[in-house]
Amino acid sequence: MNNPIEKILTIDISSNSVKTALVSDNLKINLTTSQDIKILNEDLDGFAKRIDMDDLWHKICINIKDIIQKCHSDNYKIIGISTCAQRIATVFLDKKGKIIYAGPNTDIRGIDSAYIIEDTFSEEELFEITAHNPSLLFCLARLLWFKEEEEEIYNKINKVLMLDDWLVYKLSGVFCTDLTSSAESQLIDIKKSNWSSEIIEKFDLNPDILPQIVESGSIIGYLVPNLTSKFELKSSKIPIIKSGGDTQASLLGMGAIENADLGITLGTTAPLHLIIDKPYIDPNLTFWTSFHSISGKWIIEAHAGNTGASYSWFKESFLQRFSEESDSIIDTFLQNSNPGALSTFAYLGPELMNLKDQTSIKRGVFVFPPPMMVSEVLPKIDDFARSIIENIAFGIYENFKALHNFQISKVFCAGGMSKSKEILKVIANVLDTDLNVPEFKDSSFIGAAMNTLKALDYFKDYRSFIEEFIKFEIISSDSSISEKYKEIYAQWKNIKNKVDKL
Amino acid sequence: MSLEKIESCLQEIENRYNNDEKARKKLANYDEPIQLTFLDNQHKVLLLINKDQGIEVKDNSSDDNAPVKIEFSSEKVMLDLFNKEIGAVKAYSAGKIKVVEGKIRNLMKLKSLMF
Repeated sequence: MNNPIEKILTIDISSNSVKTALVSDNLKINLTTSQDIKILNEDLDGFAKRIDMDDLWHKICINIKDIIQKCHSDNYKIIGISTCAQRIATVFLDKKGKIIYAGPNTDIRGIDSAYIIEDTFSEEELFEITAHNPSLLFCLARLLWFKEEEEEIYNKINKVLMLDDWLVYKLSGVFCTDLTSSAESQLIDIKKSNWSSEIIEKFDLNPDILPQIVESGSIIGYLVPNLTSKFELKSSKIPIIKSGGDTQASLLGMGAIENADLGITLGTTAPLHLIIDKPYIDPNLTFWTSFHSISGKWIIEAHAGNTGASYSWFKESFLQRFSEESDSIIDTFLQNSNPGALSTFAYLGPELMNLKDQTSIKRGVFVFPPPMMVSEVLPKIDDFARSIIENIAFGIYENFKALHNFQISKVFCAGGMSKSKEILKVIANVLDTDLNVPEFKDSSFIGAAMNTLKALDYFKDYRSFIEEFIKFEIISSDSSISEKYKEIYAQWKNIKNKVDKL
Repeated sequence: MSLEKIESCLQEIENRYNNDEKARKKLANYDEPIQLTFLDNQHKVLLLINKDQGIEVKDNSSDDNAPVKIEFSSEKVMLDLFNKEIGAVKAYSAGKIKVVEGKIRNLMKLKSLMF
């Protein structure tokens, strides 16, 4: 019998779904499964949300069993399991390891407790330590919320984990975190690369509830025996490898690893990450700094907001009745319409990151030439679709422009929306830059697999490994279209300034 | 018991401040005027909070220089909020409440009084 083919099992808990993939040791995605996750409102106001964790774990188990069953006939060996998850999401466990709170990245219960943080640190002081704001989003505010509002539960907290840390604990029984996950807790000193003793002391937190920090891309333990049998895995003693934040895994998988590389992840949101070699504190307190998966590298984050969410809303609300292949319909719409979409402009959220000053939810608006006697050509659905993609591209452009104060060498792009070449062309033309797009757009799986292979000593040098195994397509910008887009963006922006006041 | 008049909501704001220790604690360092405007009838109300020392609700008053200004599309929106018939996030996203001026740091402190 031939030697078994080596595979890596990867799991990604994104904002809306839990996805599982089997990746080969030459970084090809062989099989994937995906299921939606359940986010529940805890109050009428819609501030407090929680993840249905029983449902999530059940779906993870089904996903894994499903994938294992599909490749049962193959001669394969799982050499490692690595996971990544939505950032900011937090899980609190009691002494028995039972979940007493699990909040997604959209849980803003911290709005009720952030005043404690604001009264203790000035905005500048806290940003200088954590490089993140506003406080109401993060684990620190959630901890203080429980201290204020649910003291009994607060007193039961034995471990504070980020969502990926929890999954690693479920698989291995080991409590740990890594800096790509924990940087989004507002408990990490970004310059010291460790839990902030200042924050812990000021808020009288028990440091024992915070897990040990391990390196992203390291073996932290082995799959617990009862899960090996539950998942019907052939191998025993399967290493569990810490990855961390899904965005950092995605950056690895799209090849954005060198200083001055910029990675754009086109998921539910569109974060832009610029890779740097030392921590940076934005003097305007706007852009976040976090850690890359690669030791000694940091990332500056600018964020274009709900890009994929706007795209999905349009598909689900307006296109589903036409066909289930709404992605290909959008491609056709883009081919049938021209830049500027007959002066049809969309304002659905994507814009320059400015979380610290955000106090209102802006209205969604389409501006377009209405049917009038003098109108010669009226926009069609093709143009409205294009206007949404252009809104997304303009939102990315505003952040891209802001990051241009730094050196940017190559721009990489991956994520769900990057599966459409037509969408990528719009983005390349609006940014007036070439995009390096990897063969596998679900790059978080590739990144998690790379972390596994690094932990298992399959390679030492990221660059040569990527060059050997990841194929890129270059989506080039067209200078004449880019020139047109400069004018179209100016028109869009001019109207945006008025629309924002609605 | 459901509130039927906007005056009852304003009274409830005072009650929450006076009777809810947590709400008052949140405002221990807060002393900036808040102007509420109801756009359906241009009714204006000024909330004057003196840290944790007291609150004054001045009906039919305004201060153009108030650092925090909140607009409600109608008085009914505030009634619905206080009667728990609509959530604050839903009211925000539907454009029924708009913060026209104010820092998010201050608004977070006001949530327990109004939302």
